[in-house]
Amino acid sequence: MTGVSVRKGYVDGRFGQIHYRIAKPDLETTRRPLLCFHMSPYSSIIYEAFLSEMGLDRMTIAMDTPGFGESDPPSTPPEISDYAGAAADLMNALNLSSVDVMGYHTGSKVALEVALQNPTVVNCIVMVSAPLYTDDELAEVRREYGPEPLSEDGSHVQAWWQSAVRWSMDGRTLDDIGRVFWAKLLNPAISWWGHNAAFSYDSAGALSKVTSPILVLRPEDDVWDATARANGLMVHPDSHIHDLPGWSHGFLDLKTVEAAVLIRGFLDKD
Amino acid sequence: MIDLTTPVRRRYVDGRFGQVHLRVAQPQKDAGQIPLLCFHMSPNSSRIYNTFLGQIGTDRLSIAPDTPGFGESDPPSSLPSIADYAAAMVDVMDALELKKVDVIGYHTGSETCVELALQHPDRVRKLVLTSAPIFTDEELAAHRDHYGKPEPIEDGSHVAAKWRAYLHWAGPGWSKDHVAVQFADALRRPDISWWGHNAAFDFPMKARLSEVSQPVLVLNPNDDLVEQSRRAEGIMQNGLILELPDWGHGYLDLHTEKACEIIREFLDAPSGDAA
Repeated sequence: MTGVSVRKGYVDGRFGQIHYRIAKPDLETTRRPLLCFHMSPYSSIIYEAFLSEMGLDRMTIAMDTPGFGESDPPSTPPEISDYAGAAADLMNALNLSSVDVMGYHTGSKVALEVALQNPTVVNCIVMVSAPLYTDDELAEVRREYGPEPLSEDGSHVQAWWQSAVRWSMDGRTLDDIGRVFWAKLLNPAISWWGHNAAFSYDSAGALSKVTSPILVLRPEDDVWDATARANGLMVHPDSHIHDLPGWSHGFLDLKTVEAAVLIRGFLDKD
Repeated sequence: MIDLTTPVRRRYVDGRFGQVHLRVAQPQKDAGQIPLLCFHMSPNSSRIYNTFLGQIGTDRLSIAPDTPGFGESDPPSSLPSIADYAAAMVDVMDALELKKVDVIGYHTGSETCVELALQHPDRVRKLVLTSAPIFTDEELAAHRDHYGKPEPIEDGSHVAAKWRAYLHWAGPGWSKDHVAVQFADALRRPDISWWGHNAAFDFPMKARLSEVSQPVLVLNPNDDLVEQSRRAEGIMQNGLILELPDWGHGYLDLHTEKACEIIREFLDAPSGDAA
């Protein structure tokens, strides 16, 4: 089955223009719109196939986080709360008064924060990974994902490519990686801002404060272990962690329908 | 100090191949100048004009579309020709209700300018071409080989090689940081990113350029097409070549003010002559 077409657009927000991808069914639907936030760096491109599938039965939108993709950047390094503020600008501009939210890595923190800031608007939350770091791990990832110097010989982009290959799930081809890899390289001077915001965010605190139902999808990727620590923190009785052994980066493209089935099952429960 | 730039905003319009992504800059008050359309090189995107638009847009509506299949513009469903790209640019003009424009092109974009000017002589007033790619048969054969579909390699050596090629062709003063800003666009859509070059190599530039009756200014920086562009000498009806031996790729960022000055002088000259 083929999905619906994905279109792109801009709205104005507090940091400038916000770029987004959108897919929706041909006929009106009563299902709540789903708003998606991407990982760092990358962009809404990672949701392209997923939008096409989810858009079959509900309006599904993926925002380029300010400073990523084609969205204008903040003027200084932002916090997750700033990204959530921009998401509220997008919801306002598109007149969305009741939504579900979904996030991938850094985006999962944005989704949580959007729910905290807009409790009457956000219903259910889907998080692809919910990494909670120890202090030692935090120090390590801050080093790993901080600003990087550009090489003369291209070894910096080669290392990024190798990292993308390493963390891709089985079956993800080099062409699949190539289709999204460029998005990691946009706005190179500030592309570390997303991780920087993510590592400063109190995810454990937010997880235990949010009262909406949360589905944590746990693929076997680079934060598989760190995500296990979210167990027991979430408030709503329907909240849970769903392990996805064997899945890793690229699952939104390789397991699009399976992911959509899981997510629809959770969002459409009530 | 007077602010010599104007904001560059992005938007989409619909065209025959789907959505076309645009960068747009315009003066606060309409200065009565003919709007300017700017077409980028292959692969890349309208991002190469970002700095330039902010300056040239202070006195005229200036628009840089992403060529279909590049940047954020939807691709054609099959291998396009330069005529297809030109037709998509007519869609942009129609969507923005631009009756008549001046056009600027960069490498592949220069060919789109020429085709557009020939297809719509009443809607294109003047052309500024950064390089006029006129290839010999031997060069074409070599280029087709070199600029075909890039094959990804597991160890990432293909992206490292591309980075080194970008640094190699960076003009004087264009830093790694500058190159990095444009580099991401060159890696997009590796499945079809060779379509732009493919269309360019099929385009009979020499013949088509010689048919253009509108004034043409060829800017010839010292880049990978410096020799090819000199072959435009003597074949244009109403054109001239300006040698820019101290400029290379990146001049739109590094010599923005001077580039605007040269281009304005040509576009705003009262006579129809290029000289």
